[in-house]
Amino acid sequence: MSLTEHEKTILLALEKRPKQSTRELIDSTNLPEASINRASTWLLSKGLVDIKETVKEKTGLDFEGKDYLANGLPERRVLELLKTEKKSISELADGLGHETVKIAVVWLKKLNAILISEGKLELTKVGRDYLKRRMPQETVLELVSHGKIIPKELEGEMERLKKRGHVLEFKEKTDREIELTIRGKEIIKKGITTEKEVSQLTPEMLATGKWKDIKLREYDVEALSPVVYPGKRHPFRKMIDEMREVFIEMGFREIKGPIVESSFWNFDALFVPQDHPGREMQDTFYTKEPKEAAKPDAKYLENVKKVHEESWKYKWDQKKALELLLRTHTTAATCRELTKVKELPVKVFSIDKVFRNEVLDYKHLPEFYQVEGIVVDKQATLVDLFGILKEFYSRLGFEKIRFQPSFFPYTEPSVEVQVYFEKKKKWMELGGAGIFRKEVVRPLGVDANVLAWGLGGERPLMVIDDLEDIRIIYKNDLGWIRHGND
Amino acid sequence: MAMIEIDYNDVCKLIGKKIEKEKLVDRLAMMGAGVEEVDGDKIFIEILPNRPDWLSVEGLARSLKGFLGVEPGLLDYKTVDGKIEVRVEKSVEKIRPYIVCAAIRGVKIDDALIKSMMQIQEKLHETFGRKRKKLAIGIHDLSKVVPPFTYKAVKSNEISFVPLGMSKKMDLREILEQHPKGIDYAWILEGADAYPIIVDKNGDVLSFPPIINGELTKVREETTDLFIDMTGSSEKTLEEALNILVCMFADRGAKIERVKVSGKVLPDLSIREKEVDFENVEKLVGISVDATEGKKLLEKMGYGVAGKKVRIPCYRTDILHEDDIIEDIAIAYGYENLKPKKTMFPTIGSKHPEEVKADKMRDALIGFGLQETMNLMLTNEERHYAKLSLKDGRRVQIANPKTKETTMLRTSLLPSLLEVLSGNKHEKYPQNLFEVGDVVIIDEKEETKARTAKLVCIVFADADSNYTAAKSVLEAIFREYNRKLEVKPKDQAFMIKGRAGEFSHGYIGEINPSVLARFEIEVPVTCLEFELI
Repeated sequence: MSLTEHEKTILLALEKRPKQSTRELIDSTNLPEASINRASTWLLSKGLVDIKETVKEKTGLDFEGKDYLANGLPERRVLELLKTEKKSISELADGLGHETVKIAVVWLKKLNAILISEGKLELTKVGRDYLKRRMPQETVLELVSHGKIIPKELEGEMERLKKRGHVLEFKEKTDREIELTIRGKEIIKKGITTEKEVSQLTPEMLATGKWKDIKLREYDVEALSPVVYPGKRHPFRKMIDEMREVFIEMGFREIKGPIVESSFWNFDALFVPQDHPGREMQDTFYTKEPKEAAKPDAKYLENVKKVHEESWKYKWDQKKALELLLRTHTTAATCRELTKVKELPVKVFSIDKVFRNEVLDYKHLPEFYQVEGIVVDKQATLVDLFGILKEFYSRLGFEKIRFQPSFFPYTEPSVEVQVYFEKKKKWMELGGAGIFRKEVVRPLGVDANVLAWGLGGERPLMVIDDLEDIRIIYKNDLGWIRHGND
Repeated sequence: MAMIEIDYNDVCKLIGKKIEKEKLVDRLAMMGAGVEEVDGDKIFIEILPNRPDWLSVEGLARSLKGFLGVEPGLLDYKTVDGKIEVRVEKSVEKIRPYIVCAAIRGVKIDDALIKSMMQIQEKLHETFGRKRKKLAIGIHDLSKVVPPFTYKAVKSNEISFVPLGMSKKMDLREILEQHPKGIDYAWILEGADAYPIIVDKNGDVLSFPPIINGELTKVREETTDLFIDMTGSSEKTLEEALNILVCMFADRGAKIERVKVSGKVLPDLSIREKEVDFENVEKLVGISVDATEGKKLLEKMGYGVAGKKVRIPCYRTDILHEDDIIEDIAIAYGYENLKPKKTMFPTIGSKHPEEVKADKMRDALIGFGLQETMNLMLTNEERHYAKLSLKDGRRVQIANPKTKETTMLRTSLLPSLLEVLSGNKHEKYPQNLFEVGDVVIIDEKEETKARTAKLVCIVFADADSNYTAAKSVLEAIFREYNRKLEVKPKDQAFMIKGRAGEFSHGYIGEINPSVLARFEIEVPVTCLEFELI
């Protein structure tokens, strides 16, 4: 029977103590764990050793669990907010996000820690008590994070915590014990010679001809090799590249605009009245540094002021228009581009970051990509827009598409784009479209129809890859981005 | 946007015809009122901000009647003149200047109407009313009070009354401090030294707008006559909302009675007219529609047509321009019937030069086996500066962040890459990662006082990561671009002393263990960052 050097080493180690765990063999042979595993598997197939495997479950924290540990359980966060005063669910959700508050309320109710009266949440005596001490699940979370054993009285809580999504994570751990068989012992008795085998052929051996005198060890060519990963584009980058490619194939030119933008280009030029709820502080990130934009061309200021005052019957405030913000859509860049239109037709697109003042949760990101396409031509109409949309979406892989009436402050007509998603057998909203209002394009000096459509850049990836949590895109979990995602 | 709930049977009753549920859902969507969910007979609909007249089942049924062809054409709502008068005192000018009113006679109050009434009030308050600041509605049992009514401002202790839902009299200050609605809406009256109030001939209180009505005029099952008040900051908004509200009662068979409000007689349900050139339909929508068909389509949407003149119903507040009417023609025609047209609009496509550069760099870095990451631009000072032992630098700062996580825009890519390393400790090393991404730099020369710059950042994390290996890659990049590279020693707070250098628009070095400890990174990390070339 031919034995490799590693196999021989293990047999010799087992001769001294016939039953050893992998851990013990590492110590007694000085071989790395992978070599021991590989060699002992071969010894097993040759009938020289027996391997006993025991699988143990190891509990750790999943991503929600880690978040809870760092920032507190949702019920703790809500509890703290209720410390001084009663609050309604929507007030709580303002800071924490709806999802968090929803979870918290469920658990606080189970604990009898809150009362809900007249739409407001208030702490019960039990709740107040928890302000001073830990809730049972907090204790469990803490114990798990330190790999400690959960005492009997907390096992019930542990079960409950298990049922909360993505809090705990269970990993299997295998312990191996290797024991010499009778045949193994016989082989050893016959004597094992550890003739030195060479594993790596070296340039020196080739130069000196020494290779003729040595024995090159035979490899286990079937064995798994160490894992290496190629460098790749991020999965979402591939999606962006693909969309950019589609635009270019369709003859669109890419444009860019500033990320820190003035309210004028972001809202006023788009005919969004200055008291529109969408402009309010809770939806838009305004900046405190820098504070105010320089005035755009007086011609546009004057035109936009006029159209607002005539249509909306209010006093337009230039100061408000110069407030700086993080652009809430790339349509701001489109407006700037419209002032540069000379020769028709014009077809431009952008794929860039936009910002919304939202709390991060599984559905919302405070910043995301917006994909936007624009066609400017005197002959461009709604049916042309439908034709372009059909082409664009089919190139992205959505063959079935339909349109419904919708509303945006700056388009008329406005359209909601829905695509049929084969895998889920259902229609899904995947973008908005429309023709810019004359109140938008005329003040910018354009005398043509402007077809426009846009969608959230992350959406197609989420739909196609069936991602439930949008946060995963920017988490850069190497387990996700390194593995097959083509 | 607002979500409303309607009852399937109720809407069919109002339309006057049983429509199959599936068809109803489809027609609603194709009319522009997308159905979010159907739960038994409950239908949940997303109402877009341009159609406040659809915030009630009555309003939706009214439009469906036309859209389904049950009863097309203009509904001309009639009013009768009454004797009710509302006096407006000057004292309200500074607090809540405008009031509009109407009376409704012969209402049959049932569950469906009560539900719809409450829903439309709530939704109008939320959307149109900007949380009651711009508009607040009160609906009263007219029989409990005696006209004329007076709208005036009073001191907080001047008047006390029993507010809705309470059993004892409270003065205005007490209501603001103790009544749940007072607590919710006190912010609207903040800083005022007198408060708006509506009283009748005998001084009995109808309403303390925009906070709460009196218990006295509470609408009950036996109520037959209603008095509606709407107060707020914009007269135009108020009149529009009043029209929407009174039509809803008329749809249930009640009579609308006009009220004299400081000189005006309201509601004004007169029909507006606008000229529409049907040739413009082709210019905007791409289908040709002649006058006969145009008339038919407009009537389907509830308009009246007399020659070129289109008569706009009094509840349509969203019609500003001819295009708004043309959009309705397209909706009546049916978006599903508009055949998509493949027109070339010949132009040449191209990538933005910045993206061309970024792509070239990404390709080069992937050639070195580096893995791309994508990170968020919003961050905070703790994560961006303090964790790297840096003092706060010049940066774009957010005035109104919703959480402490989003107080500034990044000026460097390195902190997020260290966070990525920190979050991937369980994954296999080496972890050699990069990002080519945007940062924002304050720049007074720009119109918006800031400019976007693209940076390149690479981190090498492994048990044997070191300066030399990183510099090999840096040198290779510069060779690839035919650029000269000159690295000079330059210590930085987040680097190991004597193992860091700078070059034109960039730096390179080994991360200081104290910084690694803060990120809980357990292997050495070498990094380099520079402006995209």
